[in-house]
Amino acid sequence: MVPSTEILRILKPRDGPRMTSIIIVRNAHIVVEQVTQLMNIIAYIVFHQTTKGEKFFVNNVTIIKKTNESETLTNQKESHQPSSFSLTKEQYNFLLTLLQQSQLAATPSIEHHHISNTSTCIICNLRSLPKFVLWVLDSGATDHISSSLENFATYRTIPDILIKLPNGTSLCKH
Amino acid sequence: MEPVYANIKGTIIFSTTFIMHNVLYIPGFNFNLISVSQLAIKSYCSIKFTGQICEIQDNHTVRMIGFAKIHHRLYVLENSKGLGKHFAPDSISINSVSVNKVND
Repeated sequence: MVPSTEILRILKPRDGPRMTSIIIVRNAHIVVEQVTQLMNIIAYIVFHQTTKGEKFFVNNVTIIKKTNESETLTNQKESHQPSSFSLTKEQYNFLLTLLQQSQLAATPSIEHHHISNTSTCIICNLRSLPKFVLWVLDSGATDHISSSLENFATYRTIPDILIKLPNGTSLCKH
Repeated sequence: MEPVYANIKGTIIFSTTFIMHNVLYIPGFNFNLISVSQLAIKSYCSIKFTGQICEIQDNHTVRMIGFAKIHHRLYVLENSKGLGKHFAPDSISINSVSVNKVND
């Protein structure tokens, strides 16, 4: 039996391409736009806050998919079997760092709104929508190409590759 | 106009079953392109084009992992807006984060 999730407040300390938001909910369920891999998942932290301001991480964090454009929460645990992940020490430390950074930005707001000791604070890293969202299937392209880094789950630098365009030159496509 | 170089590549995940590796990042482009040849060769997919739609099928699982529709004579991947909004895993749990006091 999983109690339904209720949003108490959504705080957005700062804007940016990878905006950090804090969603305070009654139950440890959060909504993500994209759950792709471990590095994304660990951007989501759930902890309990006691009346004394102490914070504790919570076991069994369940991440449930976003259902619409707004930051609504759903509960689909009954109908879907969650998969499990484990965190390395390095990733766990990253979690701690992210949590502490987010707390700095959000602490005044949390105190202001008098969150009760039964609340759960969720710090999540909301990704802004990619600048260009259309993906076109192209039999003339030798490689997959994206114009926005926001689309990438992971990326790395490589030695320069000259991009050749269909007119035989190597020019920027606009 | 200057030559264009790509020096970043990465992985794009549309869903748990539709993952593209070795995607080049080129900021100047106005489109995101899915290379049909790379999809067929590297991702072991079958791509079926018909008059209105295109289906991308995983050869191993024989399941449809992607779906495109014609828009202005181009096959545009459906549900790619917001990446994984439609395809995102329904539920994922993190079981190994144990209860630990956060040191402020």
